[in-house]
Amino acid sequence: MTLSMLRRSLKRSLLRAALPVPLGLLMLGVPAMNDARAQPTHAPAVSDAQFIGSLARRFAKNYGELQQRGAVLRDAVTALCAEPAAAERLTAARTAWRQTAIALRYLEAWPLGPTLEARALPRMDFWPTRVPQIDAAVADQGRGTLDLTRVGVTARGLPALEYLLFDTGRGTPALASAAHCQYAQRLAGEVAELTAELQAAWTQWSSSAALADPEKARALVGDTLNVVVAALNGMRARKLARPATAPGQPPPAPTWEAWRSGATRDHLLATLAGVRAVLVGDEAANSSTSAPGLLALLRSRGQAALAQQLADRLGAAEAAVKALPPDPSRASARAYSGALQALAQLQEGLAGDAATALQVTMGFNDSDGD
Amino acid sequence: MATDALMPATAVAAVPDRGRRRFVTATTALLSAPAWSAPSSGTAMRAAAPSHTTQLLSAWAERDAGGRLQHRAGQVAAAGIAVPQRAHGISRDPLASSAAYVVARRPGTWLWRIDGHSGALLAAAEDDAEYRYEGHVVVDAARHRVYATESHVIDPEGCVGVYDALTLQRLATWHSGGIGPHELLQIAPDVLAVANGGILTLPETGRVKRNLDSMQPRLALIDLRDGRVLQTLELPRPHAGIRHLAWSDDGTLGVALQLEEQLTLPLLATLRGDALRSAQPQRDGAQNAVRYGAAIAACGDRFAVTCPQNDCVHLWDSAGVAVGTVSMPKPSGITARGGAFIVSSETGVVLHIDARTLAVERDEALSHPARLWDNHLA
Repeated sequence: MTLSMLRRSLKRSLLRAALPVPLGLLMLGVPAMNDARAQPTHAPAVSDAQFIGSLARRFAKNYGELQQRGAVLRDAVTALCAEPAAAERLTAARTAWRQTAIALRYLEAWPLGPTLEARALPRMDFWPTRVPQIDAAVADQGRGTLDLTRVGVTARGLPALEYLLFDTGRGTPALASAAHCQYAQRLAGEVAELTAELQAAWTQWSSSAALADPEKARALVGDTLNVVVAALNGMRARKLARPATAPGQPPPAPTWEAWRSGATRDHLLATLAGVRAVLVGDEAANSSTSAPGLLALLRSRGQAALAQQLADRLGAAEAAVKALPPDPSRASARAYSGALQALAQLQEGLAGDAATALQVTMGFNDSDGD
Repeated sequence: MATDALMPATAVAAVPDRGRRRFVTATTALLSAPAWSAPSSGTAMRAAAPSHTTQLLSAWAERDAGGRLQHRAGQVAAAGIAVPQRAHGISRDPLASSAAYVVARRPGTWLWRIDGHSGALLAAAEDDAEYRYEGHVVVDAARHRVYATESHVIDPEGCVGVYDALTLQRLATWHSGGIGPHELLQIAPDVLAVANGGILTLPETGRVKRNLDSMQPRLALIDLRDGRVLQTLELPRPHAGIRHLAWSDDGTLGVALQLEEQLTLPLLATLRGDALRSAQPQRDGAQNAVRYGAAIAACGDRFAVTCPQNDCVHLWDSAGVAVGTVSMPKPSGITARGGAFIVSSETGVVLHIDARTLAVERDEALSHPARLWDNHLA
């Protein structure tokens, strides 16, 4: 799909009002945990449409933040390329990359609606990036023969930009050559453009009447459970459990997502923060403005014990990932296996009992055929 | 006979004749052989079968000493190799006596070459997040290649990954001719048939079917010399997903279906000449409510499709005439040896079904109550 096709697909989403942007929500680390134990004796009724609608509005705000960070990143890379030797400009560009990537990691927990339609996550966030293909694209850029539409997702997006901004393996300062800079500018420009389109599409989608349709909301509840489980599975099976050198030991650094920027653990925590937003919602708000999460949906269906169990497992997963060092390749075997196990238990609870309670068909179970 | 004619235009009509079959040409189209015609022997493209059933291959699940379910693959009479996630398709390497290729269940992330007897890992394709495996591989012995069904991370059109048979290094990527490719089969020296189920799934949502309203199953024939799609054939009923393939001795391609709607349609279509046709319904109405065909095999000129959700195996001849139904709890994989179908079961049992008499015999040597045999047997 080309970018113009992407634009067309995004335009298909319905237009509605914009919402304020919660800056700071996605700063490094996990937002303050809501206490899922503080539930009323009689769980309030929560409809599928209430849950989906409030979640969509919440994530639309976060897409606003992503859009802002994408624009800052584009400008920072442009400024760096105007003066590549300026250390403060390199620092600014790297900071902008980190903040954009963290914002995207949070949104990875619920990539539905316009994001799924546009296939925005793999387009903007293909990992692991392919260094030889990036180098080839840079070489083409230097020769003036680069056709960006012919460069695959494997050499584009934020992970490719991370390589250009952070990698020190080339023996030269980051973005030392004009070709590196020009290619980085093109990638950063693409990210800014895509995040802006996503923000506009999410503003429309999150307030569209379609989300209030009970049948569509029901389908989206099913999709929600599936994508959250997919996000957890991706963290656990792809990002944490990638080929270990020895059983039970963490893999070496170069196999971790975001190892060049040193943001590996922060990225895992940001995705878990997104998972928390889906599961717990915003229950601290008063009842009239409360944004119910999936656990509230379970409680309203008489599954308070299950909701509590999942809240506990979520807390345990967050604690286990926080217990990893910033560079998880240096984790002890105990901390590493503890994180794997905690994530697996949360995933299992969602894909098993929660799916059964909500009558959702899981796309990630092992019991169906093929 | 409530047979559905499938596109393109019908070329052959089947007329049962006292238990034997004769074929009547309905159009002159059949007189000129299609470009992908197989050699005179219908078995020419079939890898030399092992003489002993102990060399049969499958994937399975079993509990380890700690009671945890573990996924394994290899020869059914051996211990196999532990695999990272549930495996699906498995194919013998015709160039090495006990080597085999096993691929993850879709959406899959690994493709391995293993020693089916010792359980050793011989080669692994590079973990490639750009493509995900769709469950099946086939070996092209003449070209020393392996073909795997795949889907791209963004492009909804399916792919065929082309790999070096020894190293599993990716050599090329072709279009599969449709969405959601699953099983593939080499039906002539230069022709690959690909069952494109038509169902779109995405990495973000796993196996959730995202386009049931617009699914378009397609059988594609691909030129192995250059990867070009020679022809695609579609079913008139789009909710009949084309999933699995088998090749009979008389040169008929059997296509096992999975129904995504409450259709009362036989789970077999056949391709011979240029026409794809639906098979005849089972005589006793046994296909009613049967929507899921897990695997297909050919034995002589007969096809059998396993139906684990309905605890039965349906059989037809290559003209699409219903032969009968054999009851069996949770049948899964199926293959053929010496005039009999060999059927594995999720209960661990392995049965032999005589392709002519449908007499059933339990294979005590291969039955293994602790193993849940997976969908395919090779």
